[in-house]
Amino acid sequence: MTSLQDQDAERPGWRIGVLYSRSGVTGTTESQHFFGTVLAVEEINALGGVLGRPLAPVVYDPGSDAEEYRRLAARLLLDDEVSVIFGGCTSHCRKAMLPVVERSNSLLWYGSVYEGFEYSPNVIYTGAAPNQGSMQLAAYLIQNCGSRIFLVGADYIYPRETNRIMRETVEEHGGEILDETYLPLGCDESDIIDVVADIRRIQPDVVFSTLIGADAQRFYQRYHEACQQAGAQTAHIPIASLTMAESEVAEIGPQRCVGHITAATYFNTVDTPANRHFLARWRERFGDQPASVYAETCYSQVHLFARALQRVGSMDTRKLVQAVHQVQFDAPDGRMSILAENNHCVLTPRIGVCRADGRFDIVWESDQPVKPDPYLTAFGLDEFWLK
Amino acid sequence: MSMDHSLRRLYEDLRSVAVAVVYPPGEDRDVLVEQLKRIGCRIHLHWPFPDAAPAGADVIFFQVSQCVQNSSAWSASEVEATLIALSEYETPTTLKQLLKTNAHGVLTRPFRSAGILSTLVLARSAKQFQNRQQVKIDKLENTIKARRVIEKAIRVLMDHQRLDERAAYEHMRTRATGLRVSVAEVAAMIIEASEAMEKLGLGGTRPGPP
Repeated sequence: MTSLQDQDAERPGWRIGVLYSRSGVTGTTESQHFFGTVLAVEEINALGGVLGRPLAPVVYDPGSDAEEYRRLAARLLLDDEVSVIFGGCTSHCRKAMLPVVERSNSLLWYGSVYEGFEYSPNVIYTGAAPNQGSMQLAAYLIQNCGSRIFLVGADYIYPRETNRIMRETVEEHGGEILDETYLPLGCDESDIIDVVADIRRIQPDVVFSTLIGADAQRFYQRYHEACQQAGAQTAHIPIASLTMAESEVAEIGPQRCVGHITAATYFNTVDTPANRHFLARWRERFGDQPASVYAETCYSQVHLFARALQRVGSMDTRKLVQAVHQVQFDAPDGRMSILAENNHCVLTPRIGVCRADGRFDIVWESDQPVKPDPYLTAFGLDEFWLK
Repeated sequence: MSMDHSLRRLYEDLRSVAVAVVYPPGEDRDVLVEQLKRIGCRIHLHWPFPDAAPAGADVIFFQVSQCVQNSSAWSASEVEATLIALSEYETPTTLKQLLKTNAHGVLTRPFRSAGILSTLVLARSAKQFQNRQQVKIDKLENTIKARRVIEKAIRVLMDHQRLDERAAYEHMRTRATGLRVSVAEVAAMIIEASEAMEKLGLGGTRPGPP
């Protein structure tokens, strides 16, 4: 195959699709996804690409809209002749991409925490499954904040499923769910103000919020204002979340988030050599903007993909996925690997409390990485009760 | 070559079946509808989600979702059709939602042309089996009820008319034939009459021969 050798100098890049929203309700979160992806692609290409060929991203902005996700995924896979997509944040956007991804036998890398109960041979799930955060957070709240809990969430599958787990856990341990309320995505300001008023009136021990994106940011802001108005004599009721990372805190204003709790598989205060390296590169590229779990996951999944590609030298989905199951990456949050039986990622759950500088004190961390269990086969709180 | 009788019936059934599809427009619905057309079904599209089950449909394919209205809102007694749920997620909350719909079958997104026919056939069969079982159950319940009434009437006749069990039953059977009603109905008349006499203070065992 001398002809191929001759073309080496101008061999085309490995085309990859990148679908993250830079605007809309999850614009902040997905910008992190995007920046993490950019950092990894540039890093890989600066070192000569994969097998001498650079990664060549084709990028679109779906604007937090599921229909756009569907349309752009089809455009990438059918028109742009891409067969690997890095993209998606909310579950309905993932589900919108899934038909065309499966029909064209392509590969989707999905880097968000989600509700579990899914497996596709065409998806690699690198965000936390419910047994890698939700359950640990429930245990933490009961043990450290109290058992009278107020649930507020966005009205879609992820919050409802996450709250189901929270309710089961809390009630199993003699706790009480005082309220469970859902707001539509992109809800009215008055909805948020009403919920904040309910919380002030009911005075739970802790609020568990599964609002996401811009709605969550508005909620934290209105909540802070209401608490300020109430004055210092009232106790600080923390809000706990699975999605409120450093990037979201920066948007809300760190001072307004002090004492709030987040469970995630990465905080940028994680103290590992890989994280120090990652943060140094991040600052070089993006300056003072904080890196969060979303950026870290997407950065790591591109590196893991590159290792698999290096191994097989082909974008064939079957070969790539097989290789993905065999490679590892020393990610900022720990050793990254994908379980062959369910295509989900081994991750270390952590719980952080927000500080005035917008970063998180890690108050609890699993002493070992937790295998993904998307169908909760080992369901039972004893498994997750924090020591 | 002659086609197996039941197989032919199955095919003819599918050709004549009226299918309602309750699902938002888009590629997913297209996949489903095009396949149903290939199968030979007559199709009516419905969206937004109707308040009542589409009338005249033999089979209703409908969206299961937490956010919008569900088929569980349709009055179960009004739904004669076979119900096939169109689901998106397989999480516990969605499965609970699915159970509430009383569907006979389910298709999960992404829809593929393969599998739609099998689901349709199995769901139709399950619904028909369920119907037959229901008819049987209704019949059995009626029989049990009738038996209780007949037994009670026999006791009345034994106490008040000094007939033995066999004669009491024979009496009711003969009367039933004569009046062209069921034995249970005669039994009910006897009980009613006996209770009326009781109310009037004329009850009690008739003294037997000395």
